[in-house]
Amino acid sequence: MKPSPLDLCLALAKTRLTSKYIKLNWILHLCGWSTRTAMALNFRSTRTLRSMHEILRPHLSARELAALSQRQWSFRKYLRHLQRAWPRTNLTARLGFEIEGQGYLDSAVALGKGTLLLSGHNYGFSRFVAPYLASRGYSVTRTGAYHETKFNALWGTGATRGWRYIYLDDEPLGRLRALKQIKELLKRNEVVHMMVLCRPYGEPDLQVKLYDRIFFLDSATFRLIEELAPAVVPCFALSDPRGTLKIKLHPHLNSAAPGWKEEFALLFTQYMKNFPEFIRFWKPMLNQDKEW
Amino acid sequence: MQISDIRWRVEQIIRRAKNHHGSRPLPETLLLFGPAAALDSVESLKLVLAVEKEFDICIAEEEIVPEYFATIESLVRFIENRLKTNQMRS
Repeated sequence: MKPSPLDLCLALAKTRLTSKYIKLNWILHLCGWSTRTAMALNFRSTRTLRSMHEILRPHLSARELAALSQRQWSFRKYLRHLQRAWPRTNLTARLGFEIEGQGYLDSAVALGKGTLLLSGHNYGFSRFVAPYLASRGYSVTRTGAYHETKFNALWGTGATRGWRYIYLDDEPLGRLRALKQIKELLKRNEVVHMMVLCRPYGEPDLQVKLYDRIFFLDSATFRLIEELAPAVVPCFALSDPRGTLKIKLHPHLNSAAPGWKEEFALLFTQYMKNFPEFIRFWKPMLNQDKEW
Repeated sequence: MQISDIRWRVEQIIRRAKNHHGSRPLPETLLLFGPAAALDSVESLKLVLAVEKEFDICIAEEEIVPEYFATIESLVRFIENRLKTNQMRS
């Protein structure tokens, strides 16, 4: 069901008020509180969490599942709130960020062949990595499948946001232009942030396991990376229980060396196993969609 | 450079991009891009980068248009024109 204009106005007003006057860690508390209430009253919770429950029910106790559901839904709400509030408030300055492994990024940049930050699509708070790194002085570009107009409406235009965005068009020549742009940026030794999609079928070295589910990282992305040959820095952005965003960077992978793809797949598997509350693709994974 | 030479080189580049080792000439009207095309996105990037290197030319983003990149024939003509322009400049 599409939200009505009144719903949108109320959501926007709420976002403005809460972003301006309420501390961000309190917003996460509010998200947690509203989630607990919704779950207690069974208000939309069955529908929202059904896919996750179907996948995890055989592996977790009822208590563990309830706790995970609560965390998962709170973080989703928190993510949505941050996304809406971002262009309207100076969140980069206000939001608590912690970065682990910045040295890995700096040593990758020092190699001089361009740096590609690689994250899992629809996992964690990866969309806030580019804004944060740009605020720390890095020249960062994010890639994605949102059309530029829609993207600018969400994040502000390039001039105001301070980092670039490249739209990976579905139209073949449009996509080629985007890839050429990425190549040029890496040639200038800039940082590009890319998120890899998952698919139900794929190559064995790109296999990812989550409990009894098996799926695959998109092989085209990895072929592209091998062609571009940058320093690949695995990057995952999570939130702690206080709402501080934690960007975790890992030592760079050599895309020319054998085994680098498996290494990334293993890392992503570990994150999903240890922090399943940040997964946002339960439904497409359950339905075995074309990609997620 | 003769147009036949350009064509032969472009064919070799396409074969390399596709890891294809056949010897039969590729049809001039072979579609390079689109749903029923010969190349996927990564192969098309390989093609553009290899063309730049092979012919020592620079292809700007705004030149990546169907007019120049639809078929082998159109690509060969684009390269030929570009080489002529470069020659005149130097």
